[in-house]
Amino acid sequence: MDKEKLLKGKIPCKETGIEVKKSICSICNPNSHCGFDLYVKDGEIIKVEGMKEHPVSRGTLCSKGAATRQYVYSPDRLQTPMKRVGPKGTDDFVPISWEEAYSLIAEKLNGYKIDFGPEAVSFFVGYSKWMRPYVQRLAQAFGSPNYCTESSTCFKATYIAWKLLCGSFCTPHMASTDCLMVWSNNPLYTNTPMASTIFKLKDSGTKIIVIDPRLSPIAEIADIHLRIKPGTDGALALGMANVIISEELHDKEFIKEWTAGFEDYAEYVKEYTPEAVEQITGIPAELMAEAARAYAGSKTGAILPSSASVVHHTNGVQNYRAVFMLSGLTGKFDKAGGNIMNTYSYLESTSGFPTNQEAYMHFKDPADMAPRVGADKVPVWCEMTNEAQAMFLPDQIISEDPYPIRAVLGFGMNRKMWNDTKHMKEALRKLDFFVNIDIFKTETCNYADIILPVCTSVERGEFKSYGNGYCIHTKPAIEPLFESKTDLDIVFELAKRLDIDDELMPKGYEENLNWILEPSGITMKSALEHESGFMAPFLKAPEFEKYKKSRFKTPSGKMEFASGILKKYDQIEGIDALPKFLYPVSSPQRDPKIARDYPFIINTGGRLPMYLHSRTFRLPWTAAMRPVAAADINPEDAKRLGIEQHDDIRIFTPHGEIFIKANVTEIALEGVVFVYHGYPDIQVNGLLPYTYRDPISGFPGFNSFLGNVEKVKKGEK
Amino acid sequence: MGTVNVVIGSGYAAAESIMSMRSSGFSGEIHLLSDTGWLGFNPMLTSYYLSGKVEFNELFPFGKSEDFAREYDVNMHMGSPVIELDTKKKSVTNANGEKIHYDKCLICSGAETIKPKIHCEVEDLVFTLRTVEEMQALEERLTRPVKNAVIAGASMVGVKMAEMLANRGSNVSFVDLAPHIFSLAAHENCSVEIEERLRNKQIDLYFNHAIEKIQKSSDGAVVQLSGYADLISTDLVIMCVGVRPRVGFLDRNEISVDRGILVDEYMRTSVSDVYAAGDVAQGRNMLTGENQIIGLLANARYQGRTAGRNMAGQLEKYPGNIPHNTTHFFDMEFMSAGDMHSGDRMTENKEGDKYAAFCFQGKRLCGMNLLNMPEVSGILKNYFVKVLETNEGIVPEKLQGSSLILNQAFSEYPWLETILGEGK
Amino acid sequence: MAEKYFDLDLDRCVGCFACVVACMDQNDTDVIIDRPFRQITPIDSCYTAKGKREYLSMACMHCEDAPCITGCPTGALRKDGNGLTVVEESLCIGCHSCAVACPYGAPKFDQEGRLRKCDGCAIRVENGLEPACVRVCPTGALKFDTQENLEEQKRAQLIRKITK
Repeated sequence: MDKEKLLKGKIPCKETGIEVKKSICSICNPNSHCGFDLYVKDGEIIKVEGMKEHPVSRGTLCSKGAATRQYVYSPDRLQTPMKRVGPKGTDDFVPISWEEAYSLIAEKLNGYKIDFGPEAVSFFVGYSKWMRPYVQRLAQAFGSPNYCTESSTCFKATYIAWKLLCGSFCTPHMASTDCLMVWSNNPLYTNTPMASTIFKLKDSGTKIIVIDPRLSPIAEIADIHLRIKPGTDGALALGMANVIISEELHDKEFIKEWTAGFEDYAEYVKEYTPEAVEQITGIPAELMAEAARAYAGSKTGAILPSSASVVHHTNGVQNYRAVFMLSGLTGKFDKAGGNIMNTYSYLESTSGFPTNQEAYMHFKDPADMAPRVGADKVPVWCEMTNEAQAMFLPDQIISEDPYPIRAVLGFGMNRKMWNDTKHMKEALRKLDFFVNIDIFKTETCNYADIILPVCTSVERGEFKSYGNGYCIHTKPAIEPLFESKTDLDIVFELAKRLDIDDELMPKGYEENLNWILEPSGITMKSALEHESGFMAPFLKAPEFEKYKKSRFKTPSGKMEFASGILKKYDQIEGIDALPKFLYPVSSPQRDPKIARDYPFIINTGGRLPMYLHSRTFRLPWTAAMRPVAAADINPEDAKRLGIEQHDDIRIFTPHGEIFIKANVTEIALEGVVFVYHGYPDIQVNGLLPYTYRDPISGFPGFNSFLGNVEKVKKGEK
Repeated sequence: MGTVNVVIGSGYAAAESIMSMRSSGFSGEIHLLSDTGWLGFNPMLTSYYLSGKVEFNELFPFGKSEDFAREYDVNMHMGSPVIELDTKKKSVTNANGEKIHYDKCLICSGAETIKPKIHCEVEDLVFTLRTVEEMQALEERLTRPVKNAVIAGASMVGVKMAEMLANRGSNVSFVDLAPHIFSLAAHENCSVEIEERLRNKQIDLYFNHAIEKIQKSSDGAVVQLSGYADLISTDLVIMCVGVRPRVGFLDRNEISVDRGILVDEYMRTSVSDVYAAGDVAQGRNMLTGENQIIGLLANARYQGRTAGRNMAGQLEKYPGNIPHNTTHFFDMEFMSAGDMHSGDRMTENKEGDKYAAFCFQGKRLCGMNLLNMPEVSGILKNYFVKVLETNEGIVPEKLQGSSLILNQAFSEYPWLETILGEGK
Repeated sequence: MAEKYFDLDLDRCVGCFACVVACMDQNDTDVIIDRPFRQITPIDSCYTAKGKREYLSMACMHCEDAPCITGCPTGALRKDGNGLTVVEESLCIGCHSCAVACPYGAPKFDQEGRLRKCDGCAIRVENGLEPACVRVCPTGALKFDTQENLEEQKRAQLIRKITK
C-alpha cells in the first residue's frame, strides 16, 4: 500500500512514522482509567485507541477518552503561569515565569504561616487524584489540617457509611456473584471498563437488581428495576430489611455472633412494611418484596453502590448505612461474591498488595494541628476521615470562625461544585491569596491570584494500580504542551520552598513513591521497565470473613446496626445511632409550606456518557453528542405543562433559577426533573442554599430538593 | 453449437444483464446489438459533464466497449439499429443487414427523447439530450456564451440544465405545458415550494405553456409560447419534454406492448424466450400492482441483472419497484416516491428549507415528497417499499416499532413522525 | 479469508457514543461543518420488542448487494477487496442517488453536496486492524467479523436480522 494511503488511514508503521505509545486516560474516576494506545507522529497525537494489554479496560474506551485529542489540544489549555493584574473575577492576567510564580507562592504561604498559623492555608485537590497523597503530606508537613478534596462531595460519604457499619471500607466482590444489586450506579456510562464484567455476569445467570429513578441503561438490562423516588433510598433499604426479617431470610448466626444493635434495628424496621415503603418510595410493594427475596435468597450477593448519588441527600449517609446493612443482615458480608472489607494499596485502589500509603498520608497527628475546617459543623466527618470538609471552606473564609482562612492552594478547583455558587464566589473574592492549578482556563481561574498550567495524563508519567493488582508506570507520550508541568512537579518544588517539617518530601517524587511502595516490592524503576504494565508481585488473594481473626474496627468490635460513633452525636438533628430514614429537608413532608409552589423534585446527579463533571463540555466532539443543553422531564409532566421537546424552560427554587431547554423523555421519572450538572453556563448548583447539607458527611443534597418548572418564551431570561 | 443470447441495446440494463449472465455460469455466445457506439452511457450525467464535474471517460462506468467485450466474451454489433425482431423465426436483424439467430433475446432498447414538431426558423438553436452525440453537440454550442436559455420541459433533466446554465451566468426560462414543475412526481404544494425557490434565483417560469414556434429576430431568435403574448428572446433552446420507450421496431401483434414492453417478475415478455429490461420495460409497480415503466438507473440495473440470471437458467424474481426519483440541483434536493396524485388525504410540513408531504388513501401510504432531507429519504423510501411488501401499504399503529431505523429518521426530524402518523 | 460483516447487538448497545467519537477521531471530523459517519438513536421502550429502551448505533452497513452501488450513476461507489463499500471521491457528482437508495441513512454530504460516508475503515481493515468504532466499543455491541463468528456469538438480536 502506498505511503499516502497508509497516512490517510493512520496506520502505525515505519513508512508513516506513526508510533504507538502507551499511556492511560485520567478524565474520569480513578478505578476506570483506561489504557491508551496513542498514535504519535512527529510529537503529536493523531489518533487515540484503547490499550489491549490493559486487563481492566481491555482495549476499549468511552466517548470521553476517545475524544482525548480535543482534550489535550484544546484551545482552552493554560500555557504559562499567570499573575492577576485586574480585579478578581475578570480575565486580566499577565504571563510570568515559573520561578516568579514559585517565589511568590512560597513567599505568600510562608508569610501566612507566620502571621496566622499554617491552618490559614488550605490545600484543595480536585480531579484527577494522582497527586493526592503528596499534597496531603505537603499540607501536614506545612502544619495545616486543611487538606481537602473533591471527595468532600463524592466518595467519602460512601466510605463513611461502610466504616460506621464495619470499621472498614468495602468493595463488591463481583467476579462471580449470584446477585448484583446496583444501588444508584450507572456503570455502563460512567465506568465502561466494568461493562463487560456486568454483561458476563448477566450472561452467566447472575440476577441483576437496579435501584434508580431513571431508565438508565443498566436499569434496562436489570431483572428487577426498582424505580425509586429520589431521596427515599433509606426507606427502601429498611423495607427490604423488613421483608427479609419477617420472612426469616436473615443470617441469624452471623447476626447473633457478630453484630450489635440488631434488636433495636429490627424493631425500627417493623414500620417499613412493603405497603408503607410503597407510599414513601413509589415502588410497588410486591416488586420491592420480590427484590428483597431475590437478594436475600441468593447464595452470594454483592451491592454495587455509587460514590455519589445516594449520598447527595440531606439524609445521605443514613441512606447508605441502611443499604449496606443488608449485606450483614443476609450473611453475604466479607464473603466471596459479597461485599468485602478492603484496604487501599495505592491511591484509592484496593489492589491487593501492601504499601506504606496510610503512614505516608497521615504522618502528623491531627491533635497537633488546629481544628479542621468543618470540625465543629460535621464532627462525624472529622472523626471518620482525615481531610477537612471542603464544603465548609467558603463558610469559614467568610465568617473567619473559628479562625480565618487566608489562602487556598487549589489543584483544579471548580467553584461551581459548591452548592450556592454565589456563596463560594463571595468567599473566593474575600480570599487573600488563591492559587489555582489547572489544565484549562476555567471560569474559577478568574478568581485566582496566580494560575499555574499543568498537563494531562498523556504528557506525564505516573504510577497507577487497579483493583485486580495490575499496575503501570506510564511515560509521557508527548512533551507537555506549552510551559505546563505535572502536578507533582509543582508539589515537589513547593516542598523545597515551603516551610515544612518533613525530610522525605524534599527528596523528590521517585524517593517518595518508592517509600510508599516499599512493602510491595515495586519501585519506580522496576515499574518503568514494563511499558504495558504488569501484575503486582506478592499479590494477596482476597481473604474472607477476616473479622473472625481481627474483629471489627468499631467501638463494639462488631458490625453495628446501631452505630456507637453516631450515638455520640445524636443530639445533632438528623443524626441517630440507627439508620433512621428522614425525608430530604426540602421535601413536601418536611417543608410543606413551600411544597405547593414547588411541586417538583429537582435532581442534579445523573450522568451523561460523554460528560464528566465539567471536563468535556468544551470538547466539540463530545458536546456534539448532545448539542442542546437540556434537562430531562417526563412526557406526562411535559404534557401537563404544555412543554414540548427543546422548549425553553425556567427551573426555579426559593433560592434561585436557571434557564435551560427541555428534553422530554421517558428516562425521567414523573414528578422529577433531572438537570445535568457541569454545564459551563448553567449554574444548577446555584438553586441550593449553602446550608442544604447532610449533617453527617457535610455533603450537599444535590439529588433531591423542591423546585418548579415552567415554559418560557424562546430566549427569555 | 452452444446457446446464443442476444441483447438489444447497450445501456446499463444491457451491460448488467451480460455481467450477470456470465457470473451465473452462462458459457454460450452473447451478441450485443446497439444503434450507438457507446456502452453504458447514462444521459443523466450530461449536465455534470457539461459543468466540468466529470471527465468524458468517467461517463462510461462499464468501461470501453472493447474491454467489456473482451472481459465478458461478447460479440458486439454497434452503430446500427435493430430493424426487426422475428419472434417466430427467433432472429434479430439490424440496419447493416446482419441477421442473428437467438435462443434467448433481451430487449433493452431504452427510451428516446420526444421531439415535438415545432416551427423553428433558426438553425443550431434547438438541442435535445439523450445520446452522446447530442451531448457533444451541446458541448460545442457551450463554447460560445449563452445569454438567454429557454428550457422546454421542467423535468429532472431540464432542472439540471437550468442549474448548469444559471451557474454560467445565463438567464434561464422554463417552459412546460404542465401546470407545475415535476408535475408527475410532485404534489402541487411541493411544486409551488420549489418554484418559489427557483424564482428567487431569477429563473423565469412559464407553466401551462408550450413552445409554439421559434422565429428569427434582430439579435438572434425569439420563442413564441402558446397563449402567451410576449416573445422570449433566446439564443439556446433545450427540449427535454420527456422520453418514450423505443418499441418502434417491434411487431405489436407478436409481443405485448403497452407504453413499454410488458414483463413479469422474471423479466419475461409475452413471447417465450424474449425478455425485456430497463427504460423500455414495463415491470411491476408495487404500489398499484400494475405494470409501469420506472425509468430509473437502479431499476434498469436490477432488471438487467434479473433478466441475465433468468436467461442463464437461474430462476430469479425481481419483485418490482415503486416509482421514485431524486435530483439535486442548486441548493435543493428533491425526492419523490409513489404517487402523490392519488389518495384522499395529504399531510405536509415545512421547517426552514426542509419540506415533506405524504399522500394517503385511508390508512394506506400512497406517496411522499421530500425537499432537502437526504438524511431520511432512503430510510423512508425503503420503509415505504417494506410497508407495501408486508402490510399492503397500511401504515401501522406503532410506527417506530415496525422498523427500528425509522427511529433514526424521526430523531432527525421529530415532526416527521407526526405527519407520517397522521395517515394512520 | 472469509469476508467480514458489521453487526450490532441490540442487547449490548447502551448508546454511550464511544463509537461515534472514535469514528470522528479516526476521520478528523470537524463537527462544525460535517456530520459524523456514525450516529446513535435512542429507541423508546414502547417501540421495542422487549419493552425496554434500546440504542441503535448506525453507520454504513456495507451491504453485500449494496443498493447505493447499484444506484450510483458514475460508479463512484464500489466494493473494495474486503467487501467494504467505499467511495472514489473524484467520481462523486453529488447527485444524492445513494441517499435515496440507502435504507440506513448512511450517506452524508459535505458542504459541496458530495458523498462522505463510513468506509468501514477500509485502510485499517486492509492492514489487519479493526474498524475504529468496533475497536473502541466497551460493551462489545459493535462487531466486525465473519458470518460464522457472529452467529457463533449467538446474540438474541442481530441488527441485520431486524432490518431485513
